[in-house]
Formats: sequence, C-alpha cells, structure tokens
Amino acid sequence: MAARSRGFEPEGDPDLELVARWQAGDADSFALLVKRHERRVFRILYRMLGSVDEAADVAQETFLNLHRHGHRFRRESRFSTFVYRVAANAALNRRRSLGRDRNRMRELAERQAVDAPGAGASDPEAEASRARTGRRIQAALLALPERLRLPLVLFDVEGLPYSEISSVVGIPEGTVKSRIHRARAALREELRDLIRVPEEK
Amino acid sequence: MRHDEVREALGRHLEGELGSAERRGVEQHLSVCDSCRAERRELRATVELLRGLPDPEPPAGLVPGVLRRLESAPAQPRGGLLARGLRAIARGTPLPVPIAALAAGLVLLALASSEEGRLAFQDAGGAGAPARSVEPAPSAAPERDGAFALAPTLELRAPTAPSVVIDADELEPVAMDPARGPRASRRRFVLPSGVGAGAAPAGEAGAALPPRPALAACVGEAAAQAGDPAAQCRPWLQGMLALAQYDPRGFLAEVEILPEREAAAWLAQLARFSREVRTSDAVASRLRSTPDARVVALARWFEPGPGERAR
Repeated sequence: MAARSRGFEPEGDPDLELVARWQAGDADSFALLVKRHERRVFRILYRMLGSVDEAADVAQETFLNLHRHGHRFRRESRFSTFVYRVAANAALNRRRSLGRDRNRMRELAERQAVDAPGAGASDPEAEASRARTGRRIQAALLALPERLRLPLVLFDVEGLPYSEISSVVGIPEGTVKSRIHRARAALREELRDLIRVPEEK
Repeated sequence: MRHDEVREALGRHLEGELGSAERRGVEQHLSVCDSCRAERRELRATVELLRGLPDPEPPAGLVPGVLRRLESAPAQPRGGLLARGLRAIARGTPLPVPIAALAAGLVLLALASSEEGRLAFQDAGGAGAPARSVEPAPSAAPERDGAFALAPTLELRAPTAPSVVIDADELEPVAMDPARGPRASRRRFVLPSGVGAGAAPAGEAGAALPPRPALAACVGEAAAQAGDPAAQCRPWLQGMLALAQYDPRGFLAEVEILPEREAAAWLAQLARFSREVRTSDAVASRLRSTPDARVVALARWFEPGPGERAR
C-alpha cells in the first residue's frame, strides 16, 4: 500500500532480472518472459476482442511488438505494466482496423465466444447455461465503448490496481475510477436480467 | 449524505475505498433508502459476474508461434527505416545507398574546427566540470592522413544502409521545436580505465550522454544561419562517438531510440562528424569487432568511402 502511494519501485519487479538478461542479448530470457505473461495477455485480449482466434493473433502481435520495442522499456514501471500497455494498444489498433460496428462485434461475440469450460463441468445443463451467461457477459463487454471496456476489464476481470491501470491506459487514476464506475453502470443495464438478486438483509 | 452523493460513492464503497466518515454516511443512507440498496446490490452482482468469468486458456501454439515468428523475423515488417536497413544487412542483402540524395535534402552542418583525433566531451557535472579528452582506443585502426574534405554534396558511403531521402519539412514537429525537443537521454556510459594518453582519473570513469539536440538545430539551412549550431550539437555528437567506441551496444541502444525518420540523418551527421574529428576508422573498427550483427551493421556508416581512401 505504502509502496503504491510512493510510486513505483523497480526493485519489486519480478521480471527485472529476465528483462536485463534479455536486453543484454539473451534470447531465451525473452522466451521465458513470453511464457510468464502469455496467459494474462491472452485473457485481456480475449475480453477486449471477444474471439479466441483474434486474441491469439493479437497476443502474438503483442509479443512481437514487445520484442521490437523492448529497448524502450526504461524501468519506469513494472515490466508487466509495459507488456499490458503494448497489448492494449495492439487490441485498440486491431479494433480500429475492423471498424466500429458494435452490432457486428456483438454478433461476432455471440457466435464465437467459447468460454473455457469451468472445473468440474459434470452437469451438461448447468454447463450450457454457464456458457450462455459467459457469452452474454462477453457480448455486453463488447458493447461498451473501448475507453470504458479496457479499464473495466483490467480492474474487474484482471484485478489490477488503479495505479497500474492508469499507467497502462495512460489516464489519471481518478479518470480510471470514473470510467470503471460508468462501465459497471452500463453493464448493469445491459445484463439486468442476469442480475436479479434476492433482497439482502 | 445526499442521495446523489451516495450513488456516486457506491462504487468506491464496494471496493472498500471510502474513508470512515464517508463510509458511515453511505451506510446510514443505505439503511433507510431502498433504491440505493438495490443499486448497490446490482452493482455488486455485476462485478461478481465479471469476476466469475472463466479464464480462457491461451491456445497451446501461442508461445511457440511467437518464437517461430521471431526466428523468421527478417520477413516481419519491422518498425523504422534503420531497423529495416539493419535487417536487410543481417540478411546480407546489399542495399546501395544514394546518400547524395540525403545531402540534397539537407544542407549538412559545417562543423568548425576539428580536434586532431581527439574526442572531447563534457563531463556529467555539466557547467564547471572540465571537458575531458579521450584518445581513440589503442586498438584503433591506423589513422588516415588528410582531413575529410567538406563538400556541398557529401558522399557518405554506407553501402548497406537503407536508402533514404529526408528533407526538413519531413522532420517531426517535435524535432523542429527546440522548446519541446527530444527528451534528454541520460544514459551513462563507462570508459575503460587507462584508455588513451589522458586517461580519466580513477573514480571518474562514467559520463552521461549529453541531451540530444533537435535535428533541425544541427542540419539544414536554418541551423546554418542560426549562428553556431556546432555548439549545440557537438556535445551529443561527441558523446555518441565515445559511446560507439567504448560501449558499442549502448551506442546501438541510443541509435535505436532515435526518431524513426531522423535516424538516417543523425547517422549521416555522426559519420560526418567522426570524419571531422578523425575517429571514423576507430569507430568503424570497434563496431565491426563487436559480436552483435546489428552493431556491426552500424559500422558501415563510419567506414571510409573510396574517395577518401584514394587521398
């Protein structure tokens, strides 16, 4: 907590050693960094793009970009933050090149969303309903404007702290918070039928 | 607390981010307001939906795919001019360069006096700190005789460098405006002790690379008319040449962060300056002897051209 308020401390970055070795020319270290970050990068991209194939494609692009621009990483943030930033930019670029037709995107998501099967998927009916819910949520995410979607995905799906999101997206923390709030409100409207919950005490 | 204030604070309340006074206010309001309670419930349920999303697994081929594409990287379109040129070099593709075209676009800076094989650069201490002289590394190639002649259309032979034509209009606005000029580079480099006759005193081996000047201040007509551009450009040029000789990888790193469209112009400028101060052979041979293909590729900028050899 204290560390967060005082700003970033590079000593705490678990990737630093690998990054140093990579920047000194060790290709294996880069491969290890890719392995270390692929899951999260893929997840963020999947939530941003709504398709497994596209997320995998953009994830590859992300790591290639990273390899290309790795020398620009100056330890001003965690390496992971740098990685997410490259990923977010790749995702935004991809979306732009696909155009802004939200309905088409939503359609795409409804059709393509293949959420990973949950653990202990024994009941086919429950499983199908889970998958349906997952698709609905993903489609609702895609219906959000990107500037709201990205902070929401990073915060509520990935659980990154505000400070890191601020650095990934390049907006102040206060703006991050207000966007998350607006994104949640929009999502709640979109998913109203899924969130009928009993009155709490 | 007012109703709308509570609404606004609900998100932060969910995250446990409210101070104790504000939290008490919100909770008090929630205990009496059904609609805010419902709102809070729904927000929480929304967040829970998101947090409960299953984690999709990345396809198994993701990492191997990245590594494979890196291995065949030459086929991959790579960022800058310089990078593309370097890649071409790595592939062994000869890329003849009409650098004369570059010279046509740029009135290259005429640098005043040369320093007879010496390379002086300001110490990191800045004002007050004495400039230090650095001899070329002992391993330097034998010096050519005769200074490099200044010619209006300079033929810089960089046979495998990317072909490039740059004119002042194309320079990035940031480079044209010294006030918003490129960020100062603070890279430190370390000279090996005992280099040259006037070896640096022990404990003083490091020096910061001076900030990179705006390209427009060093090349082009405006620069030529602006009095003494050399004064602005020289420290950085000298620092870069020292870096090239004593920390070639550091030199590469600095070259790689040059703005894409300026890289070739800067390299031409550096090559020219290194001829002026007669370090180009030393720089070229040091870069060539570095076990890094991309560093070696940079050496071509500093190698003497046929016209120079003839002299």
